Amino acid sequence: MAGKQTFQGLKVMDFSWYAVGPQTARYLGDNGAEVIRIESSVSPDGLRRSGPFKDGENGPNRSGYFNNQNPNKYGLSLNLKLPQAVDIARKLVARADVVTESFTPGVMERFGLGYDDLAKINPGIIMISMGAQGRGGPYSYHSAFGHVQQALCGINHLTGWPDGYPTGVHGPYTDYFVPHIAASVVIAALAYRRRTGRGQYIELSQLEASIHALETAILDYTVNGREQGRVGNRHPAATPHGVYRCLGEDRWCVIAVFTDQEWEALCRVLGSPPWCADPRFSTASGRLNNADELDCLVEEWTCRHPAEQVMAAMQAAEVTAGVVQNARDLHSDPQLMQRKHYWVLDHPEIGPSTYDSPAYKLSRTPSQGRMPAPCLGEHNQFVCGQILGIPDDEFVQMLADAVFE
Amino acid sequence: MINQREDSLLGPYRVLDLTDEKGVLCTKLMADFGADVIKIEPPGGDPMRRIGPFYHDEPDPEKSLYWFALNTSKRSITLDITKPKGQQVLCQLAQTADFVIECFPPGHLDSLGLGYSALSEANPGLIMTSITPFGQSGPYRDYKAADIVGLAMGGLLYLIGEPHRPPVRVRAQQAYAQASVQALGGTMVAHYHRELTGEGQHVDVSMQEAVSNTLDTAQQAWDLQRVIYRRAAPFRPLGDFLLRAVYPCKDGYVACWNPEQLESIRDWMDSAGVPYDEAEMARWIETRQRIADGLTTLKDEFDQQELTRMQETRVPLLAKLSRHEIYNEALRRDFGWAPVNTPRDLVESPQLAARSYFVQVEHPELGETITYPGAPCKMTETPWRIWRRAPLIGEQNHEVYVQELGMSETELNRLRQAEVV
Repeated sequence: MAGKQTFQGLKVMDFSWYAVGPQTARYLGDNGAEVIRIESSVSPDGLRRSGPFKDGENGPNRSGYFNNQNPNKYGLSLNLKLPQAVDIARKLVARADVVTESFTPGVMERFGLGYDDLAKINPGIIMISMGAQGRGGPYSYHSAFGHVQQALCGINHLTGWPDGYPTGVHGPYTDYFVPHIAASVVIAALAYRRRTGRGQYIELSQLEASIHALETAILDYTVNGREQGRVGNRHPAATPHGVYRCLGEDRWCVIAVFTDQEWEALCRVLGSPPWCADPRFSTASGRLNNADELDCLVEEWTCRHPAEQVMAAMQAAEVTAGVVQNARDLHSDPQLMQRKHYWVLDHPEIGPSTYDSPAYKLSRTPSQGRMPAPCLGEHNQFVCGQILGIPDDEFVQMLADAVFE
Repeated sequence: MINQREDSLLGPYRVLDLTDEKGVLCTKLMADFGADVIKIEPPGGDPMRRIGPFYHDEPDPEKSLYWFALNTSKRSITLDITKPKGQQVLCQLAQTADFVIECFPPGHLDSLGLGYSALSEANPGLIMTSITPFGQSGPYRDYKAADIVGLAMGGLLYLIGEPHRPPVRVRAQQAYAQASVQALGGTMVAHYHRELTGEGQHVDVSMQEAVSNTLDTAQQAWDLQRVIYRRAAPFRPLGDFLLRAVYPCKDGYVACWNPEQLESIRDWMDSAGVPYDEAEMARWIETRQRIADGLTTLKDEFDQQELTRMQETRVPLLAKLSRHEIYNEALRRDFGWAPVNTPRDLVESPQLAARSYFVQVEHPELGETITYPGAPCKMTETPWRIWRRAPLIGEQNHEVYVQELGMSETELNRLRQAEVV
């Protein structure tokens, strides 16, 4: 693929680590920018040490976790505690358009790479800091992973059964919400700079951005004094609305019935058993009041059929339904396959492996998986030689001085 | 500091908002960043106005908190785009717009003569973003979906919940939220391309794909190791092990990130007078140190039962303490723990207060000022703002149709009589 991409020629310096920052920079790389990911083997990105690893074998370049956050980037390792390393970083920033970072507040400043320092060498730079709780305030220095960040922002509290744990969503969920907002703002700031000539500093608190995923939870409290809690799979406007056991081990299909027509269609799919005519179920409010009983009756039918068949039968009757897919299902999902959702990129150490691609498809300037995630320090020589024009002997000297560790 | 909306991040741009729940957060974010977002409602009001909860629990299309929360800074006009005259007006409006964001089933706008090809003919710079359950193509493109279907088909639902109960959803609808923020991202990429070239394009967003990007490592676990991750609350999977993620405490729950410093936990338990098996604890501390030093591995030293027992020594400690007490002590000890915050905790959070996060928005009709979540980020040049409360039904009909499109009063009245507006 060699189609035109939006950010061709744009240069991004990605000082961030873990998930939020790297995904933000990935947005620009997926759409054609030259992204240089700065790392250090002295203090490597924790995701390089977290699985899953190819074939279960540990290694800094074998982690699917790290790789999925970092395709379409060059890898440069720098020990920023050394002045020569900082000097290289500053030279790269001088020619860059965007700088991303997600350290706790003050770390970039200690390296001499805070916004004030960088704006002196590149006044048009757009820099985004993405700390857990932002700069300033009593908990500013508390770094937290998305696993607990989702508890902090209210997602855990709203997830699960009314009589069960605030389970939270699998994984560091907010790490998969925040980057979209962060990247959108960076891109809009780039457009703003074209319009006005002015760069800027963007300071994002992951907590503050995540609260925008809560729908009405805040307003219900500030207006009505009510604390929303967990509701299981109930929905105020739809019954049945839930997850129904199907044939096989841990197989499930969701069904959601919003209207009387959908209810009648559901009854037909189920073969119009006598209970469907029960007047208690003839109205939406009647169905809601008898939801537990209805769930059991629907499940008596679904548990005798494979989830895929339940979905197909429901959808053919125009009833909202879908298989509760696991990762194996996703890899053979005909919809995702036809849309080429997964990119398979050939990684120098672990070979072809699967990357998520964006959920948006651009008709003129599509995103592209051009390069697999870099190995640690894979492009040190390329960046120093080809991009910065540092002579070989200087590079070798710096190598000996452990600048690239 | 920018006070004029025109100078804000998206100030110069107009958005026609034809979204439903899948896209309404996308256009809210655009509006608060300054875009002139015109929500196009069917006469009588948008269906989202019927979604509760309501202001003081009074069901009324002008009192939906769902509407309030997700339509800030927008304007509203009413227009029946199923009628030919309505379609004509929409075409006219689309010529003045930079973005159209829509959530109709694939092909629906085309059938009304309002699809991307029709609208872009008269306005080649137009960006149209279509947010649908499964995208514009593929065998499932016409499937019906709600939030829970997006969660299910995208693979997230399978991972949420307790192992012995069915998968369970998030009350605040996350498939819709994910579709919205990916739509925003794709729309901004297209926006930058247009800044460079003047060319518009069609952005095709799939809710299923948006959800599938939130699975953390479940996709890779299958790809690289042929392992299927499952729901495990209150634990979370780590390699072959399950680590406890959520614990009850005196007044609610806390979320814990492992591994912590076991020595520090022992010290904490000592000072709180919580008993434990001292010999076992000493052995665990020594083993954990050897693991940290790379001399052995978790797998060689622990089975799941013992790992669980080790983590659960802290259960009586946490049960004695409040969320707030645990959080402050955890911060002091540099543990990545956090309280499971409720909405009230957020509204009363000292951190959010210190950063002046929440903002006050006036609702003159209600004679009240309401507290809303504030900026998703702070920007030095182009600050975010809620420019106005969500619009009333057709609040800007006159402003848009007469003052901006140049319709005469008689014409507008004729449209009203024909129930187009």
